[in-house]
Amino acid sequence: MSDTQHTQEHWHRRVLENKGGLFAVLSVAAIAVGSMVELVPMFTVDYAPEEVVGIHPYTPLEVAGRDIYVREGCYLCHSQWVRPFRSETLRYGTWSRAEEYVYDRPFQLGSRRIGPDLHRVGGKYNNAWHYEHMRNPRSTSPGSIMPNYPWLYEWSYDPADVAASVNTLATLGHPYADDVLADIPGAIRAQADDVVADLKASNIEVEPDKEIVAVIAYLQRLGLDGRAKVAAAEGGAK
Amino acid sequence: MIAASLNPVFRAASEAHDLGWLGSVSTLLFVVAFLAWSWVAYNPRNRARWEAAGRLPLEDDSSPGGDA
Amino acid sequence: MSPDTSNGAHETYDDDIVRLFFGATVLWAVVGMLVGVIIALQLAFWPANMDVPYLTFGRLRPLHTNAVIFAFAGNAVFTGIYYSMQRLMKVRTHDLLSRIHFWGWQGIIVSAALTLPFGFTQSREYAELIWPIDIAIAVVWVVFAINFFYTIAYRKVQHLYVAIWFYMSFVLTVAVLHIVNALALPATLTRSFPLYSGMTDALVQWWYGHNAVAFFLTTPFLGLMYYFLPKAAERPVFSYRLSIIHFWALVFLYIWAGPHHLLYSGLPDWVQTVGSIFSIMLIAPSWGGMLNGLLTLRGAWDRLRTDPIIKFLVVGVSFYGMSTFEGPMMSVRSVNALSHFTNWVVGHVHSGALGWNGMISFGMLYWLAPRLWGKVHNESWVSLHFWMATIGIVLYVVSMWAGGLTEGLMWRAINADGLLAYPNFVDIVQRLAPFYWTRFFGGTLFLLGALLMAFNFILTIRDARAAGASAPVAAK
Repeated sequence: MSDTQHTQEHWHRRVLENKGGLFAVLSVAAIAVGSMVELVPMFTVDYAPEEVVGIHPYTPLEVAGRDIYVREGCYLCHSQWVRPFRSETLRYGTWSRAEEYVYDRPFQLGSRRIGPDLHRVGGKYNNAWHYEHMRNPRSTSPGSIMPNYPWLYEWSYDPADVAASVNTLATLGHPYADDVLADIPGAIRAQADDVVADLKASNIEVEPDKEIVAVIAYLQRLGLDGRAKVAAAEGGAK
Repeated sequence: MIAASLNPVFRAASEAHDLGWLGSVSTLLFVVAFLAWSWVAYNPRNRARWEAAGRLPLEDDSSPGGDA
Repeated sequence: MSPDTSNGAHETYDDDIVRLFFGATVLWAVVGMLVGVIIALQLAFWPANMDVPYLTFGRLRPLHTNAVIFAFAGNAVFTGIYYSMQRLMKVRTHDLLSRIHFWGWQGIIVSAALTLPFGFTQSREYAELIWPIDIAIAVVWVVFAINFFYTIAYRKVQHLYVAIWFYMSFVLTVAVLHIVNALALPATLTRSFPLYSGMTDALVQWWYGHNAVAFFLTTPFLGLMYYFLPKAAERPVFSYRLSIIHFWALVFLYIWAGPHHLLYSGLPDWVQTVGSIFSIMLIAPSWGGMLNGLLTLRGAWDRLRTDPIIKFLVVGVSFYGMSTFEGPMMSVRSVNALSHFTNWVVGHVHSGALGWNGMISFGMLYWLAPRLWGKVHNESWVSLHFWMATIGIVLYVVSMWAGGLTEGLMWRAINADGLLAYPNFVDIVQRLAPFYWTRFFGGTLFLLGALLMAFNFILTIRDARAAGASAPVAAK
């Protein structure tokens, strides 16, 4: 039949010179346009220096907690993204700004609210509340469908493992002070001891190396920098 | 370092890398190409060719040599 | 390296590779849907998390999505591509590359199943796998691409049939998406941090995430539709001219639509707006494909009553039309304000995944089975499977629509005093229980249908072996 032809040429002639190669180039070009127009400006977006003032990278203990947050897939039920609607600012607090996420690697905006948003959960409850809630969510939130996380009270984080995360983030440009990077286990321990002491005041005994301590440190940190910035701006500060 | 250049905080250059012109130009090019392609597709002279192409899946397919 | 280009009558197509991918498709369909049913139960009945770290919702959901998208749908696409590509080009694919592709891909799936429950994840939706597996994916994909393009290069048919166009955009675009989204700096063997941060990271991920839907679950399945629907209906596609036109519009428009996942976020407004506009424009090429598929049955509509394969394919194409209308609607800002974060989104993706990808895959498998092994063991089970799947989808999608609207409206309800009408989030969660249970039953029905299909195919293969018909049955 006329459509059929036998091919004996060398492969590179076939790949480069027949319609298959041209077609491949055209179809990549078709997807390259939209990709570049949308992505490239975001790669090079430049926040004015005053915008990121007051936004700090996560401390080593918070990085440990964040790694656990990612591991447990918390983002699959909880967003970290308060939208600029009255119903959301009433429920969660001030809406989420772009610059608040600059040290979020990977981002944790989430796509589903099986549970409530967590972007403003920092400081909303005390440490003891989180301690009880993670062990049995129904003890603090009757009717919750969240799983229990008993292993966070048995497993310990490894400071060397946390240091690997912190050092990688530092390599990627997160501004950690030299003395923090010089003694990451020490920085972890100092903050963990504070959390443990606070829990002890609520008659809760926990060792500072348990995962729950890191998770609490991370959750209590969420949204604080952004909220402080907004408060300062609304208080008349430039 | 590429990692630092992708970090918004450490980006030194302040001018916006707006590729809106690329979007406009390429969208225009795409529309022109799309209309031209539509003209080719619906040109009556090509009708038989497309009909033959549409029958390709229905040809005998028992073996590579079985297209007698 | 080069495929056998001789034109002897003894040369055959490589249908063993099709059988391998076929078997993997059925196996992973059951596994992926079973995990889906388990996590559906966990939302209706939280004790099903069982206090076991490896079985909680947060760790199993990525396993479900990866298993269904990359294991079930992925293997289904490869099954269809290896069968149709060889025949459309009248050349045999490269045996060794095909097997490296097959075993490499299954190895990636197994490694996903062995890492995700242990919490090894990058937390990027549909791209959760850790960096060493990401590298393996890239390598296996390159092997597949080489096999694909060599087959094209050595083809004996001048014209590239439109299904090949769709396959090609799948091969190329998925490679681009995967590599750009996976760029990360490893911290340990199992953990890495992306080169992008914050909103940039979110945009890259949803550019990837949306186009995984576009170029992994849409374009290759349209390719399958353009091959297997004409085959099953025994008539050419309604309008070949429409198919080659809507292809380019679909590919050009789809890539822009990612930002509709980030409406009302910190993303620059212009990006959000562009994402919305392109999402809405997508209705045109999507419906072009749907209508082209449905109208292929012109003059053969009676087969819709009698032929279960046509039923699967037509319902699949119809769900494609419905999802691609619903998706653009949900990209409209005011609708998105209500639908985002809710079960409505879950219903939407499942009308696509179960309705479009699932039904097209099932129809294709039932069409292929007699050609690969011989008569399907029990024809009436095929019809039974069709009804179980259809009723399952309806229960699933309707309950998630209702549940999504319920929670979306309750979250935003403001009382006469200007305060939240339902300030306690758990009160809203509690209202969703009946919807979660309905979804669980719908999903279970869909899974049982898939199990029936698997059982039917096992008996079909056993019949073929018993009859000594291990050689391929050369049906038309």
